[in-house]
Amino acid sequence: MLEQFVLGYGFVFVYAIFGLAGFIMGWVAQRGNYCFVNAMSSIYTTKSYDRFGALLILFGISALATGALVAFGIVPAVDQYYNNFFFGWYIIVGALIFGFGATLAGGCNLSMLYRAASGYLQNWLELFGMMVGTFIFAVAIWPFQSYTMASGILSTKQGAYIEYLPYDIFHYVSSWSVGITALLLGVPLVALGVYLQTKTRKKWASFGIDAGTPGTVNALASPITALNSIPTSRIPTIKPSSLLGRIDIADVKNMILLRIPYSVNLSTGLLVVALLMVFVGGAGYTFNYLVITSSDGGRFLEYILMPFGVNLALGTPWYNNALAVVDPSVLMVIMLIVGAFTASLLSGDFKIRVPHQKRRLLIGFLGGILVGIGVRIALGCNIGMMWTNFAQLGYDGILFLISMLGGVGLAIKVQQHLV
Amino acid sequence: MAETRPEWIRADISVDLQGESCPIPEMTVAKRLKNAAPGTVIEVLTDHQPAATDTLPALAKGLGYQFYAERSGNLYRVYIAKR
Amino acid sequence: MIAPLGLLLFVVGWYRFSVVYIQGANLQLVQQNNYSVYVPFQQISAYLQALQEFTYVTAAIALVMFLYFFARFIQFKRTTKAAPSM
Repeated sequence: MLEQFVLGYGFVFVYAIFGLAGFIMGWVAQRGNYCFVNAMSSIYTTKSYDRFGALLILFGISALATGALVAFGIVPAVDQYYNNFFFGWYIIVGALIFGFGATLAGGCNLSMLYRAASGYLQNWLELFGMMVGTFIFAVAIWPFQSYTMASGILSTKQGAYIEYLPYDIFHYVSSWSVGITALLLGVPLVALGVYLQTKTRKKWASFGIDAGTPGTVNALASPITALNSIPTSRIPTIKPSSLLGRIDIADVKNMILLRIPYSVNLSTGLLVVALLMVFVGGAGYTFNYLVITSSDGGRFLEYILMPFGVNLALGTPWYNNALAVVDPSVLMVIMLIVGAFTASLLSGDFKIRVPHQKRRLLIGFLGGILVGIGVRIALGCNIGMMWTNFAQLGYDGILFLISMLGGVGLAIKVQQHLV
Repeated sequence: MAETRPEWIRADISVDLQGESCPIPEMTVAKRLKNAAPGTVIEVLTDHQPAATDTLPALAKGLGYQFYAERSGNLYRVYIAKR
Repeated sequence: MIAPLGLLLFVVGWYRFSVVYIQGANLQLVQQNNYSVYVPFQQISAYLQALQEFTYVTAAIALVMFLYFFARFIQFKRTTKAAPSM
């Protein structure tokens, strides 16, 4: 069954929606310091589940929201499952490599882009490394992987409704099967996320330290920074038992004026908005989910080589049959960079940052290579595979999450010897 | 408007982590804290906002240590006092 | 202060790159009969049209930011000049 569009305004509108969603993602991720790798590495480094809990809430709300749109008939079910991925060995292996590489390099695919846009040189090298890693995957790994996918060796042979939990559980796709599945998937995720956040904040509070103050951050008196002073009484504080916390008008005002970062749960909510924009707007036209890595890892290398007369799509494996020359995700990634850059500039956070330990740059580049290889093996990154798959009501995302956690943990062990 | 600094603020150990992004700041500081004597105050210089507003405070809170952070432009100074 | 000009160059440069090279690469695919990754004319036109609009808006934002930072710079210079001993 072919996809059906929900909003029939044509491709210009679709590209515009993706571009706008990209801008929102970049802006929000930069303001909220939203990093999937940081959320996972914090479990190991600071024993904090606060941001990891936010990730689970993100996945859960995404599943509930997209499931509700389908269950109520606003979006046809085929638009939710049509692009579901295959499942196989490559999801687990790829996610492990990705988690490992991203932690070494200093950011997931989302944070790599917004930090690069904020001036972090290490993340620029991660991005270039990712392009190289994608090329290595294309020539050395993809022929083997595509053979296993086509032959069903430790792999399903098709995605779509085969990978669609409503069909897998109920053997039938209907409003009620989709709605119940969304609840079965989304509610436990949100509940677990809330529990982990509450548990972490209660632990902090038990030490007698204000659990929610994200550092008591003040401005030193100086002629320039006086304009950016942040009175400490205005820092948003979150009581351990309350997730939304005490949000007063001053906090909202300071967030709007870019004086303080966005809270993690506010950022989560805004990112879900971006997802739903493309889910509804792109339905029937294109892969109607958020996709980063095909563009930054794959297409950007193609584009860089074009002025030199090299067209990878003409003969190079994977580039010549798996990656369209341009699609809405390209505009999304470009506007993500623009959004993040604008947010960092206006908030005073933009600065060219070079690590003191110069070997960090090499580690960033090598980590980026692993990121490129890992995400392509896994058929996507933390955004396009993991987060997206929860919204697709699939199960690949769960396996990706577990594997990625393992990869991050391994990398933390390695990093401990390098610091 | 600058707030009055707590009395315990000083820099027994100073760590310059400008240019580094997570997880390096929290891992480096965790290692330094582990090797430091009780009562030591570590000063961290960082230009990575999440380190100052999120991960280093989380590290301190998780360990039950006092912390304080201040900002000048995009340079942050974070102080953590080991109990 | 220079950074907004970098943004301006980036978006304008990206638009020109898309018009010249991405379109060109797509045409090459047609000539080589590679329709797996070829993008139909209607879609690539839509991409360029949407990109053009975003370029205009982003360029305008970049110019406004540049003027804002330039004004702050002038204000800072005047303040420093007025009280050099501080």
